[in-house]
Parts: sequence; structure tokens; C-alpha cells
Amino acid sequence: MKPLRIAWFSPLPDERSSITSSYVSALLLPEIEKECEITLFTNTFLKHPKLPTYHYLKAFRVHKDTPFDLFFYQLEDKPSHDFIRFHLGLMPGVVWFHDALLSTAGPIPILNSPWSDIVEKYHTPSCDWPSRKKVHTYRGPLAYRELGLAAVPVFSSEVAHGEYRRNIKEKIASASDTASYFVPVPLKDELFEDLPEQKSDSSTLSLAIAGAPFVENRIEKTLRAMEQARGKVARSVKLKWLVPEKARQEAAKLVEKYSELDIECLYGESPSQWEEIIRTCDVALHLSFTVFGHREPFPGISLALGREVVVTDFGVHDYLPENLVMKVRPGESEVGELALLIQKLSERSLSLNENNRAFAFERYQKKVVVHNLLSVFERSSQQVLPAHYDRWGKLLSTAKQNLLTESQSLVQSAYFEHALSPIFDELGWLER
Amino acid sequence: MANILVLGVKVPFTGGGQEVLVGTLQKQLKERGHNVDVVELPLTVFPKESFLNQCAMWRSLDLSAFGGQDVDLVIATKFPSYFAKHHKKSLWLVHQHRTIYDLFGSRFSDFSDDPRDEALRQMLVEGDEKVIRECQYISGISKNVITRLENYLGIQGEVLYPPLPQGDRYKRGNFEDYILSVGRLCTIKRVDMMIKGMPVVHKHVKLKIVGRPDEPKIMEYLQNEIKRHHLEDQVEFLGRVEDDDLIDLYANALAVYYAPHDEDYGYVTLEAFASGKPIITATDSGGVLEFAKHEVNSLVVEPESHALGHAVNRLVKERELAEKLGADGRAFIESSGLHNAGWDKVLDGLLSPLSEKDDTRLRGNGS
Repeated sequence: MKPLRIAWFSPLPDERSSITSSYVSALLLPEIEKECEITLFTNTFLKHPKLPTYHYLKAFRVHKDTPFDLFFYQLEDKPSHDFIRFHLGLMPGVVWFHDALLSTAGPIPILNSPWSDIVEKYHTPSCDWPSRKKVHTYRGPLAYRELGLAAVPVFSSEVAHGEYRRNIKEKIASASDTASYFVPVPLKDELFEDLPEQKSDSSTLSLAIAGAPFVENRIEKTLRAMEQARGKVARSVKLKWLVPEKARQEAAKLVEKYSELDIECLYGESPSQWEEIIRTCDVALHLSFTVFGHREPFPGISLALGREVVVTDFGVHDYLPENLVMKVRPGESEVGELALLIQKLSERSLSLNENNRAFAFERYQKKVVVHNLLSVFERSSQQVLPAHYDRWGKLLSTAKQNLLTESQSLVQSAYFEHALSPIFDELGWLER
Repeated sequence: MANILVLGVKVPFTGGGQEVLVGTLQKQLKERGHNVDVVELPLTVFPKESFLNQCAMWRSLDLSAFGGQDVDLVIATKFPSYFAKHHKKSLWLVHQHRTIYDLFGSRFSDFSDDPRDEALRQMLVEGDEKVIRECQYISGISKNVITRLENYLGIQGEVLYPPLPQGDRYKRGNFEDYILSVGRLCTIKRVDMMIKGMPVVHKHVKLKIVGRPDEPKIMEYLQNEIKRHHLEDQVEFLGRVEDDDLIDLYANALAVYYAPHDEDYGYVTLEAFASGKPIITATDSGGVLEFAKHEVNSLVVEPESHALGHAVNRLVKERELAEKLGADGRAFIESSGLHNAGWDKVLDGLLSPLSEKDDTRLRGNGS
């Protein structure tokens, strides 16, 4: 059987990237390309060292020459994914949602996207094209447009997937009979290799946290908790803080404010940097309290390395079993609960948490994720996509016809017929 | 000597680098004894569905002969003039229709995810590639333009920088207390960015803006910004000025502001250097940066209003820096061949199809 030809849309794969799609692509592609023919589409002119790589605006040319079986997108709530948000409206496909809530309306040209009218026309070809002057209201922050246009939505968050199936799918008419999947973000195999029992200096309880000093990242709450726990802890406490480079100045101000605490700032945002830090720490704090942005693979890395993990008791962390992680309620009692946790953790001798490792192994193991994703691709390409692309092709064809009618209406019909139509034909612009 | 048509594209009631290029090209060809005329069709960008017709209109023209004289060569410049058909066609590309290429998906593009827009984009891209590859000689006005052509269409071309429009007429003057801005008034030229930077600039320093609006409501927007920041005494719109006045304005400026988004080329940069003045520009200004180097002949800052304002203040405070940067810019021009002597190289390239029997020189086949 011929391998699937997949158009893979992503920022360039890079295991050291802070962009999840880039990190994930770097992990998965060496395995997936053993089974499928992959062509990369990015928003730069840089090339992958091994895979054919094109700027995303060339996708239609490449597809025309040698059609793809499947267009695959990874979606995140980041400006780096604006091109993906745009292109999945030009050629729908399998969309792996790392974020289903988007904090911006997207690149300006899709602010007035007629996507819901287009989806309606896709289902009912006889209905009219929307007027060019129509104003389309943007609905956010849920990615209605992207969910509505996804031929096959995949979620890397169980919580988001559950929410989609329970409450959202019915609101997106196009999605009523669409299968959806949960596939978590993978982790490197190296994270599951044998680890030394002793993680760090036992005379110090070392905590790790990542993020800019925004309210939702709970950095200052953590520092207040450390301050509150001072004098009550059984050993000294140190915080290693992975700070995005652009937040360096604000972080410095916060560190100065809490100058009596032992805080070490390291700069970056990538999963590989988090891995380097957490290998030297006892406890991972994943306290982010916001509906925007995804957390993985950071919590996964912490679990895989057998660390104690503290999270905010909040919807996005529902998938983490309470017998594995410690949960802190956000709100008034948050600082107090954190302080108490720090105190108790300082009293314990912390060894590798094998239960956490087992959970992570079962959930995030790369070969399992590869297998699941390939299953999604196979099932989609057999059951859903051929009919979908055929129908979408017909839609594009009628779009072209409509455009030609619009163009023709702008000039005298006799002039168009005699002078311009032969040129249109010569240039291959007429639908035949 | 040959009968040559220069194919220009005109947006009526506006003027900019394109008109200067076509005019100076015509003049230079005539000075070398060729029989030259300009063929211009008006371009409208609204509605965008009309682009197909406008491309086809160019292609429908019979440019083979006029008044009993065969046309030996056509030289196309800007989209969609290169859709014209002729057995000897040179391209000196000013730019393609950028909203379907490098500006696609940005705030400067009006192409949405409507399948009709996507159909239009695809047709124009395929059309561009077909007709540009017909050219016997392909060149562009800057590395930026040629790089775009290669990146998006896989077509290679030569870089032919347009020499200075006023040749040797630029002169050095004083460093008076104003920043000069020259260019069409439209969003992508980002004059508003400098206006918004003026509140941090010393109050005795003015911003003088030469150029005419070519976008709906742009003047309203700019005037609102001036009013909002109480800059009525600091910002002056001069509209279109005569060549002699422009030369004087360059000569006596403290510096010249020119920071468009990803500019194709930017005559203004070189005109400033020829006048011994530094440029204040931005890190994303494209073709400008082929010449403007930070703290060598220019100040290149982040594309943010306060950064531009502080750059102005730096030159106000450090006049000797402004003079040094300007002197380096002038020296660059003198060594670059971008005065009148630069035209020999340009015309050698553009006229090369005339001497080709088998049309092999830089034939547009992407190689």
C-alpha cells in the first residue's frame, strides 16, 4: 500500500524550541516519516535538513503537482501559528489543537472571515456565496472558526477534548458528525531512562517554576508562600525560575522585592530548558491559572522525571490524578496552602516518584503517540478525507467560477468576451 | 538604435518611486539615442477581483508596431505591466503584487480566507510565473525584490539598483532642526510611526513631510494623530514639491526619516546619503537596509515610535554624529556608482535581449 502523502504544517521542527509544535514535530517526524511521505510547510524560507520543505503559500502548487492525502496542522495560541490559522481555512485537514482557546482574533485578514458561510456552502452547495460587503462577527476566545473548519479535530488536552464533545461540537454545525480524538503531546524517550535516586542536594528543598511574572503564572504567590514558610521549614528552600527572555527586567524587579529568598533565574521557555532545570530540583510547580495557553509538555516532563508535582486545582489540571500530584486551590487560601505544602515537603526526604513516572510513561511515551497519530491519519484518510477533499475541491471550483463572474461583471460583456476571455483561457484561468 | 517601449503602471492622482523610475529610464534611453516612449495603464486596487481583467488588458495589447515602426523591445516594471506580450521583453521588476506574497496574511493585505480570494491568489501567482518566465532578461530594483521573486516563484534575476533620479544635483547644506520624510502617504510607509514618536522629540525640532496621500482616509488618520499628540506646531505636510525644493530640503535636514515596512528599494535612502544626511530607519525596512547600516551611515532602530523619537533626539544632541553618519552616506554614494554612471550597467542588462539571437541571456526559466 502506498504511504500516505502528508502536508505537515508547522514552524520548523526543533527539539530545543519553545514552540510546542516545533518540539513535537522534531520528536515525531523521524518516526512518522518511516510510514508516510512528509512534506513540510512553514512560514519561512528555511529548509529542514532532510524533509522537502516549502513556504506555506506554495502548498497549492505542490498539491496540484502531486496531491496530498492529508493536510495536517498543529494549532497553538501564538503569533507563530497565524499562518496555520489562515491556511487551515484555505485547505482544511486534520488539526491537532494544542490550544482551543485563542487569545487573539488572529491575523488581520481573517478578522472578517466568512468561514461560517463557507462551511454552510460546503454542506449546501446550492446556497449563495456571501456578499463581499457582509460583516462577519468574530466569536472568541473559543476557536470556533478553526474548530468549524477542521475536517478532523484532534486535541492534546483531555479536558479540551471532553469540553468539545460535550458542549461545543453541537454548536458548530459542520462538526455534528465529525470524529474527534485525544492524542497527548509526546515526550523524549530519554526522559524514561534510568535516573539516579538522589536528585539534588538533600540539605535544600529545590523548587522549580516557569513563566513570566504575570498574575496568572502565580510566581509572586509562590514567593509569598516561600516567605510565609520561612522559619517553619526543616531545611533551606531554593526556587529555580525559568523566565522568558522578554520578561527579564520584570523578573529582576520581583527578585529584588523578595531579596531575602533564595531565587535563581534562568532564561528561556523551551521544554528542553525546563528538563535541564527540573533534573536538578525536587518539586515542580505548575501553578498557571488561566484558560489560555497550554501547559504540556512541562508537567509531563516533570512527571516523567519522577518529581513531586504541585498544580493549581483548576479545570486544565483535571486530567492529573490526585494521588499523583498535589493540588492547590486558587484564591484566598492559595498562598497559605502553598506555604504549608512547602513546609511539609521540606520535612520529607524526597526520592523518585515512580508512580509519576509510570503515569507519564503510559501517557506520553513517544511510540504510543506516534501509533495513535498514525491511526488518526489512517482512519481519516480512509473514512473522512477523500469525500471531504472532493467536496472541498468542488467548492473551490465554484469559488473560481464565481470570481470569474465577478471579474466579467466589471467590464462590458462584449469586451470581456472578445478581448479578455481568450487571454483568460491562454493563462489557464477559465474553468474547463 | 532601437524602438523601445517602457511599460509603466500608474495609480492616477498619486506619485512615487515608480513614476521617477519610469521617467528617468526613458530619459536615459533617449540620451543614448534610442527611440523611446512610455505605455502606461492605470491601476486600481479596488475591487481586487478586477486584477484579473487588468492583467488580461495588458496582455491583450498589441505592442508589436506603431505608426509603421516595429517595437524592438519592451521593458516591463511593475505588476501587472509584465503581463504584456512581446517577442523581446525585459523585466526591471519594481515589485509584484505583494499582498499575495510577502504581505499575505498581514495587515497590509486584503486577501482573506474566502475561497474566492484564494482562487484569485492562485490565478495571479500562476499567471505571474508564466509571464515573467517569458522575459528574455529578468532583473529587479533591489536584492529584496529579487529575493522575493526567487523565494515565491523560484525565478532568478539580476539586481540592478536604480541610480539617483537627480544624478549629480544633490548637494550638502546645513543640519537644521528638522527631520525630513519623503514618500507616498500610505499605511506601509509608516509616516504615522514617526509622527507618534514626535512627542518625545525636543520641541524645537520639526517633522517635514513631503508626499501625497494615496490611500483613502490616510490624511484624516494622520491629522488625528497630530491633533491627539498636540503636534500642530511640529509637524508640517508639504505635499508634492518641485525637484529643486526637494534637493534643498534634503540638503538642510538634520536627518531623513524613512522606515517603511519591508521596502522594495527606497530612492529616499540614497537621496539622503547623496545629500550627506543620515537615515533614521527600522530593523524591518527591507530594501533600505541594503544600504543603511546602523551607526555607519544611519540609525537603525526597532520599528517603534518611541525608538524613532529617541533616535531623533540622539542626533539633535550629537550633531557631530549626524555629520559623521551623513559623510559616510555621501562617501558610499560616491563609491557606489549610483550617480549617473550607474545607468550603463542598468541599460546593458535591460537592452541585452536586443543583441540576443537565441534569447538565452538570463532566460526566465528559473535557472
